[in-house]
Amino acid sequence: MNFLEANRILREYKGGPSIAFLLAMSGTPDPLTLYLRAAAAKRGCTADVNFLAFNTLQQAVVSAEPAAMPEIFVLLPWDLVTELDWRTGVTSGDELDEQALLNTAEAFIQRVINRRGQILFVPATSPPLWLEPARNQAFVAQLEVLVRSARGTFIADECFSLGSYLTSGAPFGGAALGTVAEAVIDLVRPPLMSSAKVLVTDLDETMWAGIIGDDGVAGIAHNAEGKGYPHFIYQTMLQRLRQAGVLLAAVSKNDADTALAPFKQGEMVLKEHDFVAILASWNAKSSQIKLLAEQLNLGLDAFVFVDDNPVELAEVARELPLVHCLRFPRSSQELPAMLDSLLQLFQRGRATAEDQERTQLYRRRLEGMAPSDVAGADLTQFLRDLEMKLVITDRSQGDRSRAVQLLNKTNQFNANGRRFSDEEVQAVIDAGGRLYAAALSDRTGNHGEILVALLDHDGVIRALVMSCRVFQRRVEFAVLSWLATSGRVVSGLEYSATDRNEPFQRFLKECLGEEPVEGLQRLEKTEIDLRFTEDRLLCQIREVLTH
Amino acid sequence: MTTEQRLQEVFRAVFNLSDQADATTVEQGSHAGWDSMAHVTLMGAIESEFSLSVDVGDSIELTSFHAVLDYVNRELS
Repeated sequence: MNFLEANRILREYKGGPSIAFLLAMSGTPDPLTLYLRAAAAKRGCTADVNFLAFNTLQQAVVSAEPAAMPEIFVLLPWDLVTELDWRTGVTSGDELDEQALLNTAEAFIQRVINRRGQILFVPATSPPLWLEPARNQAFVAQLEVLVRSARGTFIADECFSLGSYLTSGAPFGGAALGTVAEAVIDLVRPPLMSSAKVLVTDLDETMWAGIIGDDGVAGIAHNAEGKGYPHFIYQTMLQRLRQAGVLLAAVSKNDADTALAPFKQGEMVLKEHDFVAILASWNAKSSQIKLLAEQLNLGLDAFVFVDDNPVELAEVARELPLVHCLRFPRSSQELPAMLDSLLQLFQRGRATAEDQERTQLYRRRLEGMAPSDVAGADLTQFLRDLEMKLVITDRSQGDRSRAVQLLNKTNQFNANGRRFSDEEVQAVIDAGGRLYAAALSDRTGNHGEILVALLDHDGVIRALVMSCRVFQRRVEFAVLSWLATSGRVVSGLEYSATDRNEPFQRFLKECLGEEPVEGLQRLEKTEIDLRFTEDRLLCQIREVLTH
Repeated sequence: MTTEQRLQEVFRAVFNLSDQADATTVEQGSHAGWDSMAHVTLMGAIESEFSLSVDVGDSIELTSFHAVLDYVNRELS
């Protein structure tokens, strides 16, 4: 991440939850600020960076109470052994005792550990303590062992700039600021593993060896032999990710027939139906990915892009800085590291049935999408033609695991962003509340349970969430109308604006006819019934109630 | 984007100039915002943007847009 990229990320950043942390270092931290904010923004967060006063690291570790926030200690060798500081020149005399120095360093590190601080260590070259090179090397090696024993994270020694340190007290050269900031934010907030949902892959020289447009189907390689082997392994990895719920898409600068030919042949590990979309055009890949994100209604931070061509990667990285770009390796030796990166980005637990069907669910979403040129003119007819069927089940008794899962992973269409444990849901039900879950199917297929509403005994909707897969179908209005007309007590809704629930904010504004305010919103049943009867009638609703 | 255009963007960001501002005329002597702190920021931004390491001796000489542009072009070549 360089200077202009960091600025661009922050310009395009729309805000997110704040992450406060203390960055403790002995040098001047100011040049890092821009890059820390940008690195946090890439993870959807707003960095609230706190620094120690200049040159107070040692005092802070010894005397100050730990801050009420994560503490990241960016340490250089002279923070552990002050005699190693370039600013004091080369220490005179041979009387320095290694063990005494190491004991001091160990005591410092132990204080950091006691504060639950995390260490980012820069193994910068230091001035010599003794005139025997081997003795200096052995000492530095022992120092690094101490840091590793404290689970310190190392970053490259070339991040340190002696010139910058001596002139301004800032230990990092401008070219390293992005790297250091990313490493700091990784410690504060590990990359949003669970937010990666879509893997967009290139085809030529990535999915297979060769150029389909030039080599033809017979000339490309993707089998478990010869030059096809890395691509075979890559495809098996993608297959495994797809089974775990990751959505696969392909983008290729090709015409569609050419790009699809290897899939039509049916000899590859991955088939056409394993992908939510195979996009082939001559448009920039960034524009294809952006369009796909809009159609799937997923944020760009959910996308990982894999390509062998660094120019394509750069184009996407520049236009869509929130997309995580990975280069398909040029040599098989680099393949394990690349697969490991994919694992890190798409960490998944054991796959559920829902995970395994996710590709088909999203394919249906794309198939069921209103063409953009008719969306405004005839959306009602389009929705009517979908023949939507809603099954609303009272989940107050019996299995509610999917409903609770949906409550806790939905961000965009979420009334207030509040999370509920199963015990908390049970407490609401025990007090006379109800938990309803709605499943949707239409002529494009079954979308599963997509909406959950938790009402308390007074009819206040404590939680209302809906999967973004079914946005724009007005199912949410249909369910609200059903609640208002089904004889149940619906008196209000607990609303809170979050950084990500803009779709819900729009929904509530339409319900109320005015801008919603924070807190309890009164809902008038009659008015809801009048306003949204048509939406209710777009769906055939069936109730499955426990009592 | 040419080196000059990129450098203009860097200057605009460092000195909070508008998107349309002509950054080529900025000089340390006549631009109020170009103090010692801004100079450190500018050098860091140039190092970051062009993957360079600006030597202390060179840094002192870089007191105008054109001086920086000449320096960057020289280093990149």
